[in-house]
Amino acid sequence: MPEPEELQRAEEIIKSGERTAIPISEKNAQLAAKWGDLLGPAVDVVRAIDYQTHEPANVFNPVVLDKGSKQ
Amino acid sequence: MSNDHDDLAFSSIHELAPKIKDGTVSPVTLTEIALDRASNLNTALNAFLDVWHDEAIAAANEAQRQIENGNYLGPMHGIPIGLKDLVDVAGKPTTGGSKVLEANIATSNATVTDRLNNAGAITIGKTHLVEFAFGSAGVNAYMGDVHNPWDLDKITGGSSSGSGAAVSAGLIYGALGSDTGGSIRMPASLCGIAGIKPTYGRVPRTGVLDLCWSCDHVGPMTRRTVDSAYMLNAIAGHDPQDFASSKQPVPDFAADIDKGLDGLRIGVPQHYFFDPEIVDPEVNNAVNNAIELLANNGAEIVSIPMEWVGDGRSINVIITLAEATAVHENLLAEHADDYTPAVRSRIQSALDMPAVDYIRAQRARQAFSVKMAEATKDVDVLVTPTIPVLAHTIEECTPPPGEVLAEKSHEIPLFTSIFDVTGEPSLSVPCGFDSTNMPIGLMITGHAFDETTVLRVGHAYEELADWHKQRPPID
Repeated sequence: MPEPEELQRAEEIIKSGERTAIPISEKNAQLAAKWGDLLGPAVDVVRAIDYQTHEPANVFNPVVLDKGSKQ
Repeated sequence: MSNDHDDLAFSSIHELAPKIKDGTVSPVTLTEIALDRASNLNTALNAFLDVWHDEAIAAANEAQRQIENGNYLGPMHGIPIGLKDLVDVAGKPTTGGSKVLEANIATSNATVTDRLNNAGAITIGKTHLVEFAFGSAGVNAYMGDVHNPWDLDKITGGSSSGSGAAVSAGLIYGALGSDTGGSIRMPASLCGIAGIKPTYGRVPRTGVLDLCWSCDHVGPMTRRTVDSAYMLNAIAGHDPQDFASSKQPVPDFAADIDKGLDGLRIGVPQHYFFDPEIVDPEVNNAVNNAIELLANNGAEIVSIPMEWVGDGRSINVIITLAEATAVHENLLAEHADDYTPAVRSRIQSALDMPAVDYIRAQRARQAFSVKMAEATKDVDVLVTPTIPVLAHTIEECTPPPGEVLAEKSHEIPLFTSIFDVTGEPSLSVPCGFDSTNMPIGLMITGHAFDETTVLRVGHAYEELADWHKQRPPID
């Protein structure tokens, strides 16, 4: 039987799937919710990082490869 | 198989290349040995998804003719290799290790396929992987697990699991892997071989299945570091078809490999990578012995505080999940039930992640990369363990029925994923064995586009330690 937190998260995943046109079944959403233990703490860690002076990296220039490095 | 053939099978590209050039060793012989070993050992290892016997022999004969006619192309000429089955070869399936793409036939070659062909390498087939390269252990519920040549009950690490096993067991001399959270370096470490994730953008990904656009890297896996330098020479360089491909000049990665350690400053992080709460004592011991050996042979060791460095793992998790969901949007809509539950649920778990959290992670990534560059500006490379834990069994890393999470496997990418975030070049080389005779890896990470120094340190360590001379107990 899924934990109440997992069930709540599964409902959110189903709603997000509908909103983003990536449908997901209830059973699959309950499995996806099990990854919350990995994703939730990672989100918390990132929110706590001091990133305010930085623009986002992106897929074409993902990291500061030529700023500050030795080369 | 004769001892001579075994010795040839476990020779390095560096040893074979001059013999191929002068005609002492034939590419046809090497290819026949590779195909024989694949035929005899793949049932136990499950390292190859597809082996192309006739095409490989034909390519070897062609290489032989070219060399006899004086058209020797360089160290990769006539060398049997494998390609991770997310790299396109025209007319062949690219499955990504998934039932979803079982019928997917590539219509053209990946850029790296063309470049290896142009260097004269003989591709004998496609190596196995974790479904869509999304996993660190090397297990694959639908297409079968890959088994570690050092102990068939143990994981190879993933996601380039077949490449790691095939190179380690002497089936091939090199293979391509891909690395988004450590998928070249983790199997390199657990299978006792060398594997380098080059700088982001150094090797084009055109014709390679995506997992996460901003973290995906393609790179070589070989038994010796110098062999990885030769493979990298063949595949590196700008490709206008890959928007993220770098225009940085490409050096000869093998040119300085023999320069040794004198004058090099090697950073050792004070935090995270050696934390006894994270790292197994046997791993700590092997890596500290390696650092001592480097220090005793000309390198200066510099201790570097990095209280913040573990944050990189969380950045990698968020970016990879968010981008993987976008990458798989169309396939999921049409083939959700063909994915393994573990990979499908992992991708779908990011459906409710707000866009702002992804953007935060990409901003945090910039902040993190600046911090890393600042912390390491006075050293040439960082050395750390590749993986904090010892090799788990396949059973320990297989989710129980109805579950998606295995008991173990989340600790495996804790260290490697840091450098997929910064995009810096990072190499794993063997640095010893644990009490069950499973390999342990040393990770050497350098500054952006300075693969040359990373490879130089890896090669110098190999020459001092000789771990690469050990062979796995399989035949």
